[in-house]
Amino acid sequence: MLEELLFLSEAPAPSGMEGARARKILEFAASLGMEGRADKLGSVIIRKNGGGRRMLLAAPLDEPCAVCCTADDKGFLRLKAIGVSKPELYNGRQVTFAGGVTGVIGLTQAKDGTPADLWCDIGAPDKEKALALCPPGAAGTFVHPAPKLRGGRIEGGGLSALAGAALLLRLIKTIENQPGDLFLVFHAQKHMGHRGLQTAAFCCEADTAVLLDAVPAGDTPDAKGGVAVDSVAVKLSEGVVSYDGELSAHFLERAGIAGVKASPYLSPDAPAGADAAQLAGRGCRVCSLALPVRFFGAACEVACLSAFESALALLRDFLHSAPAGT
Amino acid sequence: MDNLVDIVQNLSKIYIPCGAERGSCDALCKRLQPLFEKVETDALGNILCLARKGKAGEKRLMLEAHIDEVALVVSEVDDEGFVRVTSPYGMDIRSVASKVMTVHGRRPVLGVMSSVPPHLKSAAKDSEPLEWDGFVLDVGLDAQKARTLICPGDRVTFSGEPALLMDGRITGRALDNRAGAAVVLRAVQLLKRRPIACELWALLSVQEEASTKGALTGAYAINPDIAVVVDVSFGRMPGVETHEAAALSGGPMPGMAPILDRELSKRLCRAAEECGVSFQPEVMTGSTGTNAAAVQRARSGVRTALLSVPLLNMHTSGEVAALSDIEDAARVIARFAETL
Amino acid sequence: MLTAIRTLAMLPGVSGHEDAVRAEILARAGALADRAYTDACGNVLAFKKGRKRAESRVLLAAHMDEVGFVVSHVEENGFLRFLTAGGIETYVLPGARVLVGDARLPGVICARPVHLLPKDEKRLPPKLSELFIYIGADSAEKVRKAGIGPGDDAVFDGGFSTFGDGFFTSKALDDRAGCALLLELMKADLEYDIYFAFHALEEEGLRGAYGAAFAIKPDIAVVVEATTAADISVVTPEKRACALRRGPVLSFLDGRTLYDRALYERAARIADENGIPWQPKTLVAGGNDAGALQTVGEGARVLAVSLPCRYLHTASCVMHESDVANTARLLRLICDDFGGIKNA
Repeated sequence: MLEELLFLSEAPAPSGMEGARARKILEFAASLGMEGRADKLGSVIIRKNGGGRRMLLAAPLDEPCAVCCTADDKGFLRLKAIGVSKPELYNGRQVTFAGGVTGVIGLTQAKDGTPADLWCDIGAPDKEKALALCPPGAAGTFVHPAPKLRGGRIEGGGLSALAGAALLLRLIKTIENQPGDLFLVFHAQKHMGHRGLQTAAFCCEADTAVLLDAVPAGDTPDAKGGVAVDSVAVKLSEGVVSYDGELSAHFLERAGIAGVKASPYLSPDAPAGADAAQLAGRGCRVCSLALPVRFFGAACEVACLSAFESALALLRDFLHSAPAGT
Repeated sequence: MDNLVDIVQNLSKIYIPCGAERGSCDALCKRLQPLFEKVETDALGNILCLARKGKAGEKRLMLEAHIDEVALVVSEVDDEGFVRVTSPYGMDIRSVASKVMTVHGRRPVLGVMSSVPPHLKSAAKDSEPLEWDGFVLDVGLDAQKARTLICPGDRVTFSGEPALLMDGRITGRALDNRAGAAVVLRAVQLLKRRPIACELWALLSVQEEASTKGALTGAYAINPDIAVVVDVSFGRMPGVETHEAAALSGGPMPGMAPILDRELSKRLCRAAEECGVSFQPEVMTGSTGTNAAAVQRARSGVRTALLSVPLLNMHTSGEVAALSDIEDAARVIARFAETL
Repeated sequence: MLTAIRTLAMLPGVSGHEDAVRAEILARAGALADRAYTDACGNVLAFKKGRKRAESRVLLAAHMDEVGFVVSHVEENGFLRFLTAGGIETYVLPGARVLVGDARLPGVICARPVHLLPKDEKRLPPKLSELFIYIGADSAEKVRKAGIGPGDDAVFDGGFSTFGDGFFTSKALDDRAGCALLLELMKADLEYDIYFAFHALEEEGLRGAYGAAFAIKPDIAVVVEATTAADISVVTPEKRACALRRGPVLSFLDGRTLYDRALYERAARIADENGIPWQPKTLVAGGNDAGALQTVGEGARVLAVSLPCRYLHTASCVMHESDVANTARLLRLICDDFGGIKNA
């Protein structure tokens, strides 16, 4: 897992500008003899032919970011956050823009629950100089400590953004011959409502899809119960978005048989566009595996290596044993 | 051939909870076979039925009704064996206390939704909003046994079978939208004996109560030229403004809205007049809150009309519709199909 | 015993409209007791001779009325305004099925659709004035022709179901279950003479009890009621009052009555000596016919032996069969003991 995380984080991928990371992945796939392309939104689609049932395995390509909108007279940038569910986690965070420009994020306190505004100190004395360094539209990615492996735990930043992609990448590295046409997709703009997943799913026309992702772990003192960090989360529903009951039950059952820790995951909130794969074209049976991550969205997060390995095992098993009719 | 009361009652007896429809849909397919040339389900569980194959050059007409019902979702079985629930699909929270419910777990499990007795409530509570985490579902089992039967994610619906009231009214827990589905099936029945010049499909969709998007994939696959979406809308009662609702037994409600095809809306009204059926137009803007929003958007767009049946007590355990409105709606659609 | 409870619970008997259940109880009591008759309040009173003459006059009482509705006004569009007889929370009403009038016409309680409510009202319990019974008639004239008018009663229509491990649910378990226990006692070969009262109008101010007590003049009155159990996980332990599956509830104090301490302790001892589980009521709330029986005429020593019951005053009261069995056993022992208490 660590290897994949480090590989992916070498290139930044703010939503809408994932090109650098996309290229790395495509080069890597090519080196393994697998054909791939990027679609119009920048999603990476790698195809492995096997004939028969069409299956889509998808993970997000992009990471949360902050886009510069304007600057104020004192040279502070005004940013729009993308993919930031808890703004309070970003106060004091370091952010990097293209050309080596770095800054520190601040929050203006919101009254009565309206979302807080992000501003950024890049050390510019005035508006003109600020925008010269960082023009409107420039996307900054958040700086965080590099992931490190400590006794079975991965500690570091960016885990929530990259866990799904890391899983998919590892699967690609170790994939053997399996039945069916596989579409391995790193979808762009997840944080803008899963737009890249929508277009990629439309192209792939899969019968079944497994979405790979990360979710907040539910086993810390402040959590009200949920999935433990060393367990694989099998998503059942998020708000009004339901995942295929039969497929989800299949994962949980297979986990039980194999002695792998997996738990059902339900969340009251639906991330925008989470049903994109289900609704594309003729539709698709969609289920989702996720890695639980502690301190979700914070500068330093924690995930569990064994959960990663478990998810991988479940995925490999699924490629061979998926229920009939999927 | 079933008569209308049987169609409505038989449809209403099946549990099809939103987001977990597949099992019931597969079972329903078998019962629909006699009425259609072809019956299939899609990836989401929508049921696509071909009633009449068209000849070259004929338009393709699709009648649509959602068959999922509002439901609760089990979030956990607590240590005392009570079931905790969340409500993503719009069940009316004012209608659940002390109602008998069914948990669709490993097998159907009967339970009673809790209420707190008058003696233990303070006067202040009357003006406090009800909260879902203030309710538990009492299934009469200890935690261990309950957990073998019930898992997080299982759906919970109201229990019970429909009943007839006087003057051809019917009450039940899922008339939204089994009433609409009955209209579609009845219309297909009526059209079997009539010459029409179009290909005829019926789409019974899932997940409408989730996001009115379930029909999207069904409409994509069928790819109709014209669609009529059938749903339920608000019935008149004291306290509901006359302009916000329609009278039960006053006839079906042709929809008028920016997203609906204006010519088709007019044709529905004309079809009603030609049948001698009184009708009550319903004007809306925005998405209309029905599957018309999904169907209209499929592929390159579909010319869509909407016809609704007045309903009392929507999203409660005791919804009420008039059988005459269901029959009249079916007659209007049959006439509409004839004129295409 | 469940069959007997079911039969009684399914009969309509809203306070003031107890005719159907009164007839059934009178018939059964008539067949089992030495004397059974009705009085001006609508009570059924009965007397069963025991093997010995009683030292104290002992009365066992339950009430046969249930909470329900009374039609107050017929709207022009056929909807019926109604009032509640007995305390019913409005938030159990939207969507509830009812049976209206002597003809028992099926109806549904209607509320405004939640979709049309302003956001801050969508989760508020409705006001009674905003709820209407709909029987399917769309004009006042049609309602009249159907034989329904102001003053008619309406009763919950929900059926009787068993569920879980030994639980059962129905309307009116408060207090048809108590009535069933009394009728069961009448079948036995009792040690002492016992008076039985099946009160009307308990839910509307204990009015049947006042009348019965004045006529019978008991020394000791044991009220057999359903008492509120809030033993569900969303209620903190101190507020649960009592719990299902822990046996009959003996009350020392409720919202209205201080029970006779000596009788309370005597009943507890009888239960302990015979291995019958029992529980005290741990929350002061509610009231029952004891409130009337204690203070009428020269007064009486009162005790309440109750069945724990969840979701009181709804269409789905819940009890457990073990509590019914244990309460039946305890009541039998009490009957055969209290009659021998010497009158001070």
